[in-house]
Amino acid sequence: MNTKQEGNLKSPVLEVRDLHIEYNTQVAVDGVSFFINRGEIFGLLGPNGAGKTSTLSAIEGLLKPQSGSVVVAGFDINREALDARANLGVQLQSTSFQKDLKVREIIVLYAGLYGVYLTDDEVQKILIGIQLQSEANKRASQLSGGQQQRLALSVSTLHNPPLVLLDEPTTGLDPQSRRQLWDRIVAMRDLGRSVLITTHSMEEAHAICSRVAIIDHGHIIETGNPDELIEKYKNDTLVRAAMRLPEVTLEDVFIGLTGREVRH
Amino acid sequence: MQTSTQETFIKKIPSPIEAFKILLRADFTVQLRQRRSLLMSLITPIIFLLAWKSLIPEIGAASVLSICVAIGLPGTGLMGYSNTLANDRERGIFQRLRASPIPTWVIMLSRIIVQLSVLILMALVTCGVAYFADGITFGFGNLLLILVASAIGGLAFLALGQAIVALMRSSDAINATTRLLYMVIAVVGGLGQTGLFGAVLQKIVTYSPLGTSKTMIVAAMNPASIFTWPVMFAVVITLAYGLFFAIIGIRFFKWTVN
Repeated sequence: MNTKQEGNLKSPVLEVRDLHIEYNTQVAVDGVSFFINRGEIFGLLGPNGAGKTSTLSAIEGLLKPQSGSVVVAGFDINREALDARANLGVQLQSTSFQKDLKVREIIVLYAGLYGVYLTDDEVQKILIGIQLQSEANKRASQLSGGQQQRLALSVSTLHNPPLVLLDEPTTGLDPQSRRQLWDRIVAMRDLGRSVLITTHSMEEAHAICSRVAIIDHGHIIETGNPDELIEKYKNDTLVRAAMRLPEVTLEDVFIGLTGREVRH
Repeated sequence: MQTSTQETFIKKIPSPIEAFKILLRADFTVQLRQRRSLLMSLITPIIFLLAWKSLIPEIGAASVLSICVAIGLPGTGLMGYSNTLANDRERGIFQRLRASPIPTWVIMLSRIIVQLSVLILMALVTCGVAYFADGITFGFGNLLLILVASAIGGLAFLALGQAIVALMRSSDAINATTRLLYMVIAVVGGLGQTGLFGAVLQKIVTYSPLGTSKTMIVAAMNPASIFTWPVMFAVVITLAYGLFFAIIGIRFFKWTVN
């Protein structure tokens, strides 16, 4: 590896700078900045309406911010949208596939849209990899929740992107499917990919994220490694008031920082 | 000029034409698998055609066939297209497609081409039934002109469908609105041209998208009349309707319901 490549490996794969998003006059995101390094699983955590989805939509280029910038793999998402998106793998909250297409056809379609043209053997290998070889000719709508998520995760990485965005990927999954998905996300990191994940499960964030950002009312209020955040706030009064177990958890820190009020 | 980060990460982007071909294949596959919707698009004008067979001696074969084909246009262009768009938007399919490195026009053009193909198929099948079951005769050249007229009229209804989806968010509301609109177009538009509801309504219907489509189809069966001013006026008005609704449909269209 030469010096230039080493240098590139150190540069962030995602840089979000001073993002500001408003809907009519309501501020959804106000001055959000963060970065994600290579090989890092980064969790964006926040209560409902905190600004997670708006931030994610701006990163995907689906929403144009009023100000600020998003740079994916060196490409500005608004000025070089197609290049930036080509370096991005996306799994949305709903699996969002055409319900009348078969599993095999979905893989071929989304690979093709990223300029990857798969042979039948390559599709078969992918299906085996996600344990859906028997479901190849089933429609996406006929798959179970866990199978749909495995398919969606696989589709998001068909073009080998350096950054993968996962929007609440384990919502509604049983514990077995959830653990299996965690393994797959960690395996993606081990292959050198970076992952940005949003989740309401603090257990999940603690289990797989190297760093998390806690966002509320459109602002990032804390960023850091989950264990370091627990250590930092373990004696905080509000955090201790949120404790339900003998030890402080990431969820206690989260509730301590964002409050007990239920969001809608 | 590329930065060093870009050099490391640069990925292949498919050409818009390649992406269009891939998406078009998928959209056609989806359309063919939605058999019930396809069947409804094809069968509605045929029902009108068979029911109105007795009107042929009174208003003429060209009028009956043109009204029936014209009534089929909003069935597909308005109801089928707008409901598919609304449902796919609600399910996040457009959001997923937009997150991929393809221009947005590729996504929409693919949908429009598929619906336009269904419209042309509908016109072809209706003409076939008219020829063999109702004994309405026309030459191959007339048939081609009918298909072109149907495509022009169909584009106006597709644009209207796009405008409705642009102005409304809920798929239920869109479904209800397009059904109601279709009923009005089919009943008032279809019968209004016969003069059944009076001269004023007849005039209004004549210059509605259904009326201008009918005028173009009648002219297709009698090519000598194509370059007369009422027919050219009908073509211009239909294109104007299409342009007007398309501007609304593009300007106000939202890719997500959130």
